Amino acid sequence: MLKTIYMFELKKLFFSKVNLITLVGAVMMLLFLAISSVAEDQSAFRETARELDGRIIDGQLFDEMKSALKYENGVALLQVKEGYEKYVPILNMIMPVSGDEIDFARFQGMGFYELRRQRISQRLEKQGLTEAEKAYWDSLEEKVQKPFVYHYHNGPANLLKSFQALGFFTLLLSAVGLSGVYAKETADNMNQLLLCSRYGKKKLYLIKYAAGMTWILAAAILVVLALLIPFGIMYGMDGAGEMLQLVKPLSMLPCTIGQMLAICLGIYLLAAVLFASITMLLSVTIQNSPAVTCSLLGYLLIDLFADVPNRFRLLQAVWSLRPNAILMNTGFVNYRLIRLVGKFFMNYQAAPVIYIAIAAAAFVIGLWQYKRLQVGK
Amino acid sequence: MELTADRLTKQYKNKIAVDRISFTLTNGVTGLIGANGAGKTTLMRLLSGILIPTSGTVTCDGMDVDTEEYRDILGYLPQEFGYYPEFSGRDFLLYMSAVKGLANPDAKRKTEELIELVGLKDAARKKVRTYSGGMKQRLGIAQALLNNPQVLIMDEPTAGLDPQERIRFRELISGLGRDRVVLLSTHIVSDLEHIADRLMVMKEGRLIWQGRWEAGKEDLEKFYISVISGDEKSC
Repeated sequence: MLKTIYMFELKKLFFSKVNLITLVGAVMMLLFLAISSVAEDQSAFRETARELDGRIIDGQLFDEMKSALKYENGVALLQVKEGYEKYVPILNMIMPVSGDEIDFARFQGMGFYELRRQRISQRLEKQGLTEAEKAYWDSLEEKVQKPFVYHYHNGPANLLKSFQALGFFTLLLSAVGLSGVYAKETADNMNQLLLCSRYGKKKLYLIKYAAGMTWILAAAILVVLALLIPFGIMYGMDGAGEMLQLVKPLSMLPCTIGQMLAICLGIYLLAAVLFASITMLLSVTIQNSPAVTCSLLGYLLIDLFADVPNRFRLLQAVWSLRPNAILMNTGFVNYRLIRLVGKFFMNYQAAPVIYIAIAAAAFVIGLWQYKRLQVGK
Repeated sequence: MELTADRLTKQYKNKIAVDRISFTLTNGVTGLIGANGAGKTTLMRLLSGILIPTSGTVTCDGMDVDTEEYRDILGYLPQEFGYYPEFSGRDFLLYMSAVKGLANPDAKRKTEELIELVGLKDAARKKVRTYSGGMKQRLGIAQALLNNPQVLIMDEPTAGLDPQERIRFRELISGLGRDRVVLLSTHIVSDLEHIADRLMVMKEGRLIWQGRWEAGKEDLEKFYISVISGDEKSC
């Protein structure tokens, strides 16, 4: 019987026109995003990226590059000159460190890595990290192999860069798809029938919750595939085993792009669970589907545009734990740490535990609210 | 089977919707009549356990109404309720069977039986959104009967039914009332003629008359008007 109810609850979610339209819309937009990204990335650059495979990024390579760039007052300008295209993948990698104006004079020997270290130190200072936090990061930085060695990594790198968009889409899918899980039964006057039925109280809450989670996880996986498949076909997935710094040169995490992809995927799926559980809690509490959707879309806007200044240390630390902040590219170079039982944890280490705890709390509060539901109160 | 209300009261902010009502219903059909706003729907919700009383109790053979055991033997048809428009009539009944705890083979058998009983056999595969008001009401009646309830509470069950369907419904209810508690409310008193063994009359949240009713002995409509206007001694 419970399985039958579960199947019917899935049918309500998966055959709802609004849900289908939102899901198909999200998949189409991501496919478009992936295809347009591939189209922008000229095939010639992809070829040169493969030619550079295995090159050590050091003074010798920078000397070669100098001749391919135009200069003004000793500073390289990014203007096309013969042979320029060959070095685009390296330029893309060094520009987050050097800025748009590349001063190759500073890159002699290990100069590039000294500049990188300076930039990181500036950021650590700006974020107001303690000496202990800085020492923690230094210990990780020591494990990052230098000089970097270039390897082709366009496929996994593009996927990694797209995770931010995925987080927003998942929140949207949750806000639209799950806002009515409990609220719609009230709006449609179906609660009158359900709440006086044998399984209509506690068990129906649990089954609806399970169906809601199934919907959001299926939708979340589908939108990942909407990016993964075109990127995989166009770029291939080689390069996943290369160092993260090829994509995020200012990161001090000693891990590979593939490992970071796995971390992002895990956080992304947990974020989907978190969004779903909060949506369903709001659905059972507010009992008004459009109000739930609007509340979450309002949050989405705040999430997109609000930023907490560095001087509000605690608030910034909390704000930087939100799923989209971690999935955003800047999340990989956010140096804020969380100290717990004498140990430091990075955002992406602490966030899963926090998400699971919030989701569990939302589940329990929702159940309590559901049991108190009345008709015509 | 005895369904007992004891000093049942439901108060909203500034209004007492049900005011210290007490009664005991036994097997048979009881008609609940009263003008719109008299408190019939609130009383029925209290009896169905979907609304918590401000004070007083409802028990069924000693069982509290907020238990799985009571919900197991309860059939409830609300005055107005939505359906899942994307479900077929059959799917809707199968879903309600599962929520009512019927095992799969029983659910299928009972669903087909009730589809036949309420005359929806030809429309069972159609989406509920294509149903007329009368068809939806018949589907509602069918869902209330799925678990073979010992306590059947129906709020304005004849609303939306055409004259022929009304007659068929009355016959159905007369048969059902023999071995279970049936309470049905209406503001159309003629609906109760010939089928109600007992009557309860509500006015402004209070039960102003209750007792046995013998069909044919008196004109129900005239009797009701005399009760409402205060000519008949209140209970």
